[in-house]
Amino acid sequence: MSESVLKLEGLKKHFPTTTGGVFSRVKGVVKAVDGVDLEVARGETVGLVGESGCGKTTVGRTVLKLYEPTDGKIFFEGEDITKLSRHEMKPLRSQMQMIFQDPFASLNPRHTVGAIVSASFDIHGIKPEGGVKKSVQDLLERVGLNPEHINRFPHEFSGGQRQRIGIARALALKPKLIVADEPVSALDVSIQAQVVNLLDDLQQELGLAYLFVAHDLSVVQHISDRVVVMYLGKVMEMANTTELFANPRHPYTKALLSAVPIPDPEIERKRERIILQGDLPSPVNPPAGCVFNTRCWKVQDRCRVEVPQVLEISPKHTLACHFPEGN
Amino acid sequence: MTTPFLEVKNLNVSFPTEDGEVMASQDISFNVALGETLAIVGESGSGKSVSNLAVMGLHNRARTNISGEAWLNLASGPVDVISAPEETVRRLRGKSMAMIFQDPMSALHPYYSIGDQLSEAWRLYNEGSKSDGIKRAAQMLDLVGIPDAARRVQEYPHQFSGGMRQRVMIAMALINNPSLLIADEPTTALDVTVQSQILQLLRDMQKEFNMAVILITHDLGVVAEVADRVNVMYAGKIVEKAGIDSIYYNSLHPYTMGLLSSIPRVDQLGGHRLKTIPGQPPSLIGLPAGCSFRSRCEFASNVTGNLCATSAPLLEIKAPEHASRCHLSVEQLNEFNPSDVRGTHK
Repeated sequence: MSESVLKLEGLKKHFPTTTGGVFSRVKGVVKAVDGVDLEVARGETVGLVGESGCGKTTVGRTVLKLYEPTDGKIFFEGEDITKLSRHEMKPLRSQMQMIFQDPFASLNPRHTVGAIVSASFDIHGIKPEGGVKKSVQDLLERVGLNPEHINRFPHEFSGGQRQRIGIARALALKPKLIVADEPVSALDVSIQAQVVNLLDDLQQELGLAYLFVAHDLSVVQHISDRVVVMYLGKVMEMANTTELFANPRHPYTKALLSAVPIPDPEIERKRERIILQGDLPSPVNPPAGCVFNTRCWKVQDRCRVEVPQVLEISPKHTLACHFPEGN
Repeated sequence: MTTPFLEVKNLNVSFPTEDGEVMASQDISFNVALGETLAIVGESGSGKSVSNLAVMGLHNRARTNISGEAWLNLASGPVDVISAPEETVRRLRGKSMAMIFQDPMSALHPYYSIGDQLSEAWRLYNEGSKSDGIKRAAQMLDLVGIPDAARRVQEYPHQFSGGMRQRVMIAMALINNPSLLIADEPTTALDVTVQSQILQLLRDMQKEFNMAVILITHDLGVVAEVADRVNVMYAGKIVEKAGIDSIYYNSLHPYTMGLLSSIPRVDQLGGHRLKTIPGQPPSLIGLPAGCSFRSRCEFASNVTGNLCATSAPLLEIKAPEHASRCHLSVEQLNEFNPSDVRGTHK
């Protein structure tokens, strides 16, 4: 077993919903994340996929303790960080960074690229070797930007270049783990490939671990070593990428995969689709039993009452379903 | 071949700005027939929306320079929506041609119930009371697959999910039985599972109403799923125009080839490096002479002389029903086309 960078055990994050007003009372809870186990090893990319509202972004943010977990444990390099205070977290933060979806909203328009990328040096009181300017320029060069552009402002860059600035910022403190939340979904196709390749190269050079949160299964399949499929806050299926895409066992995974369009008209004409009916149920009031039972085409009485256990059906392939698809 | 319903000829759209004129769409010509789906593919800023907004007459004429023709072949006779008076175009909009947009939340009015909004669209062109309109609205909602339509017509946009709102938009666009539907990125804001529901619905509706459909998208997977013919746009121009299979298996333009090989596919294993198109699209202000794609084109060096830099290639027919805007010969293009985009799947 390679060394584990991140490990989650039964992670839960529930958000209370309130009645609002002055005498606001708690009305219910949104179970955004409801018992997630996963592990990311050094140099590994774990893809986290699911529809909007499945809790994938919340997992990413809770991992970095941007949200306090409701229950469960988070281990970073073997150390339990679940209960650490803000102050105790600070030295660890330099080792875990985030890349955001929207390269327009995630960069301060009034700061130069130099200021944006070097901000983390100031925050952590680090004096990089060779000086701040030199390090920033090295970082810019590493992510494929012109180091002479250090004094430019974000608006002078295109979407793809801004995303590179966000990546340079995340790399500044030589992190071990990067949580990338939909890092390429706002980019055009031809630019998307450039950024995916950049993330690949950086991982190989620096041995980074990625938790790659995305809804685009084609990109996730390309970049991930292992994939976790989430639905309404729970993990439905987890396996290494080849296995999951070639042999999906959970009906939800199967439906999700069959919904992804393939850029090949001949295949599209022959393809049989599983079209799921309806929308994602509300996480405030998730269905009893298996959370997927309202949209599953294989649903039986048992699914409506009994929550399926997460079982390891073959090494490193876990599944939560009473009636999985055949092998 | 039947006469096309929409014939666009040499359409140019540009916006004068302080920095210069933005040449958003240049020399756009295409046809769509009833029952046919034309996909228009391109990156942001390639002019795919702008040219279709011109067809719908949705540009502010005072601030936009539009030239060219766009003929709608109506039963009552052909009309050029570019030169026709605004009033004429307004009467066609919603009746003969309709459009749906990417973000259904901002396209629906938050203060009016779904039924009010749909019946308003219907009553614009039909005699009938408001309650007739609401009935008609409920029928349409039922047709687009909204359960419990009779009750839901009274609800408001915020009570619908993203996919359901897009269904409402489709119902509203189709309520007067238009012959042309322009769908501008209709599934981009939706999850894949909902996307496949909506694409299926669009196909069903196209059959039901025998419409010409223009699908504007950047997603080549969606195109492969629904289109009959494809226009690929780059920097304001159509660079390649062909039937769906020719585009995917025998592309004759370096940009299309680049696009197709730069997308990861869910049915092919990862692990390899994605092919990329280096650089980024040019600014549409003061486009340089020559081919707009040349700075990113990996084959430009194969063109004799400095042709790519000096003269803009024309959109010429290079194979049957297949036009491409490139100085390279068909033989060269065939040779350069990487085999892995020609469906070397199992």
